[in-house]
Parts: sequence; structure tokens; C-alpha cells
Amino acid sequence: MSEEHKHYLKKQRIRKTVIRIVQIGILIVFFGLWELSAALEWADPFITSSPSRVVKSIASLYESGELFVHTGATLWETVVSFLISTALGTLIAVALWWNKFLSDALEPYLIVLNSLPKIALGPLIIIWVGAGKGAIITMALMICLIITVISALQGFQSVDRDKIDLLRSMGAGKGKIFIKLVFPANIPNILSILKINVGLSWVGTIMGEYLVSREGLGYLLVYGGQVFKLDLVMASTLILCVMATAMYLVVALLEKIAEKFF
Amino acid sequence: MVLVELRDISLTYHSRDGETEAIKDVNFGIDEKEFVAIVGPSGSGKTTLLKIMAGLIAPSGGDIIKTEAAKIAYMPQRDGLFEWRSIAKNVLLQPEIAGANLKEARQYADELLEKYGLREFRKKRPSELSGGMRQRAALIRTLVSKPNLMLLDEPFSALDFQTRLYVCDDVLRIIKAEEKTAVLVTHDINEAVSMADRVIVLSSRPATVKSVYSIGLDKNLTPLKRRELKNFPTYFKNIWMDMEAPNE
Repeated sequence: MSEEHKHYLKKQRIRKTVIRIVQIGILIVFFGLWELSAALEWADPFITSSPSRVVKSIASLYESGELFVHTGATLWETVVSFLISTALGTLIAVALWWNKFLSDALEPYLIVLNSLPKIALGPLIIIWVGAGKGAIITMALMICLIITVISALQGFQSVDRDKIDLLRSMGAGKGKIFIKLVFPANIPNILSILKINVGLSWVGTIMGEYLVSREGLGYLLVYGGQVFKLDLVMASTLILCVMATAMYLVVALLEKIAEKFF
Repeated sequence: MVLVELRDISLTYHSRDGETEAIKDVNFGIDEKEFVAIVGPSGSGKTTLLKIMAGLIAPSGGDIIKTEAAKIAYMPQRDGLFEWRSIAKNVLLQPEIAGANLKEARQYADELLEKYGLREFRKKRPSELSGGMRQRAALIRTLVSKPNLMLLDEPFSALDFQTRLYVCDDVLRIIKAEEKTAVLVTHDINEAVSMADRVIVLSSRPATVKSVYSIGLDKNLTPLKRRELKNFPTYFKNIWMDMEAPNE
């Protein structure tokens, strides 16, 4: 290894370390200032809460056993709606790819459904599905499903024509073209849809919980806001941050593993 | 023996803007173990004609008469290798789709990979190979189905000039060694004259057969060497003038 290359590697290492230090620094400064502003009463801790109050709030949730009830409920709803929307959306996209007539005929409806702010369906969902977990999952589904269908279909349709011709010349029908070419070629696309859906299913779940719920983080947020317990609101928000990030990282890891193969 | 014969093949495209006559009354036959190149101005429908021969597009008129022995394999522009498959798996695509005996096919594929110097790249992904090697892998994929007529659609168009000359030699050597019949579509007259036994010149749209040249260059030479022969430029000039001349 040349001196120059050693120098280059060292520089890269230092840069990486500095970035990490700055990242952690931002976190410390943020929470430090927040705590300080509450302690010195620059801001009213009743309105802004403070890290120590948030910790206390989480601890009391934990002691009363509520913590896992709420996080568990939200996590369950999110994961279920994420899985259903991804699977169902991909399946619908397959059907539309299979039948060009169908996809042409349904195109305007997909556009309308995609443009519609799904929260507007809230009252309908409550009446039709009932005010419970079903309604929350339906809400999240509504938000993820259409965009999944549209993105997956777009991916399926943009597969190289040359390669399709190659398979056709080998005697492959639609089914084999899908299994051997279109699906494997779209794995990276589907994984990036998963990443988007992770975010969207959290949005959908929390929105659903705002509308109807007796448990879950969305419920805690609304309840905390209504009774002016800002500690609870901040605590729920932080827990949500951690959980959503964790789920995103899991999907990102999956993507990394799959990238090796596709 | 004539392997495949095209009789009065014509094709008309229909779109909202009207209809386009792409191919009109094309007639020719391909003899066994012959290497035929089809040249024509760009947009003349060469590729379309090849796709008709491959059975990918139905002609609007005319017949394709195939002898029972004819087994056609099509090689598209660019190599069309699947990035998520290793080279060994890429070349097995056809038997997999046809539901053939995979063990036998694998054995034959391994033989070909070994023979043409790709054995050590069996486990590699296509992106790890050079352009020339990818083209060779694509050719082996076409050979694995044991066809006797290979349809090559501008197989060298994605390669740089130097690789192209080298791959031309390579492809012709392999096709001759495997005793295959081949039809090559290209817009490059030099490539056609240097590789083919016979060159079919198409007119601009609607494509008809304008002229046919039997190439009398020494078949024992590689295409690169054939380019240096004295009568090479004469073929080039005649074909070029045919392509330039307006349709009657």
C-alpha cells in the first residue's frame, strides 16, 4: 500500500468519525437545551414538556403495564396493514399487468383513488367496518394500497421488451415470462415500494387511531392533547420515532440482503 | 437443402395515425449451414423481418415454410442476459422454459462453456464479464437449445469498435464449429460482407429484397482477415450503392 493511499484511508476514517460525533452531538445538544429551557423556565414546561418529564411519563406507562398495550396495538396494526397492502397491491398489479385491457379500463379510477385524500373516507370506514381495529387497518390499507398497485404495475410494465421477446422466442407464455423475468427483474422495485409502505402504513395507522381507538400510540397522542398532558404527547411521539425507524431499518436490511441476489 | 423459405412476406402496421407498410413481398430461402446477412437502411424493417422469422410477429401476408428439421433460436439485440442469474443459469434459460431434461441440458451447457472459455466464469454474474464475453455467453445460451437456425439481431451493436471486430471472429468461429445455419441482421455492410456467405440487401420502407450477393471471399479466413482481401471493397461499394439507390 502506498503512503498516499494510507493517507487517503486515514482521511476517510477521520471524516467518518467526525460525522458520527456531530450526529451524536446534535442529539445531546437538542435534548440538553430542551431540558435546560424547561429547568430555567425559558419556556413553560407545561407546554413544551422536557426530557426528564418524558422519561417519567414513559416509566409510569411501563409501570402501569400500558406501555406495551399501546405500542403493541399500534405495531400490530401497522405490520398487518403493511403486509396486506404490499401483498394485495402486488397481486392486483400482477392482474393488471396480465390483462392490458383491464389496466387500460381501470386507469382513470386508479388515478382518482390515488388523488383522493384517503382521510376523507374516515367516516365511511367507521360506519362500514365499525369503530375498531378493523377500521384502523382499513384506513392504513387505503393509504398504502393504491400507490403500491401503481408503482408495482409501472415496474412490471417497464421490463425490457428485448428480454420478453427472447423468452417468447423460447416458447414462454405469460406465466413463465412473469416468473422467470418480470418478477425477478422487479425485486429491487418491490423492495423500494416496501420502504415507502413502511412510512405510509405508520401514517395510516396513526390516522386511523386518531379517528377510532381505545388503545395505541395514536390514541395516546389524541388523549394527551385533549387533557393537556404534553408529557404524554411527547413521550408517544418519541416512542413512535424509535419504532418507525426500527421498522424502516429492518426493511432496509432486507433490501441489502436481496441486493446481493438481484 | 432449404431450411426455411419466406414467400411473399408482407407486414403492415396499424396505428391511430394510419397504416405503415413495413415489409412488402419479401422472398428468400435459407440453406442449411449457410450464413446469411440481411442489410438495409435503418428503419427498413430488418429486425421486424427477423422477428417474423422467429415467430414473434405474425406477418400480414405470405407464408414461412419451414422444414420439419428447422429448430429456430433467436438472439436479440444486446445480450439480454439476466443479471440475477449466474452465467451457468443464464445459459440454461431455454431448457428451463421448455421443461426439458435439465441434467442433460446442464451437461451440454457445461461442455459449451468449457469449449468456449467461459468455464471459470460459470458462477459469475453477467455484470462481472466484459462485453465480448457476455456476447459469447449469450451465444452459448442460444446454442444450448440445439437449434439449427440461429437468428441474430444486430448482436454487435452495443459493443465498441475493437470488441466488435474481435466478437465477429469469435461468433463466426463458434457458429461454424457447431455447424449451425445463421441469419444475421445488421446495418453494417462491412460486418455483413466479412461474415456472410450471402448478403441480402433490403430496400428502404416498405422493405423488399433489392439484391442478393454471394460472397466469394476465402471462407477459411476470419472475418477480420477477409476485410483485407482485394475484392472486399467491391462488395462493399455495390451493396452501399444498392442501399443508396431510391426504390423503383
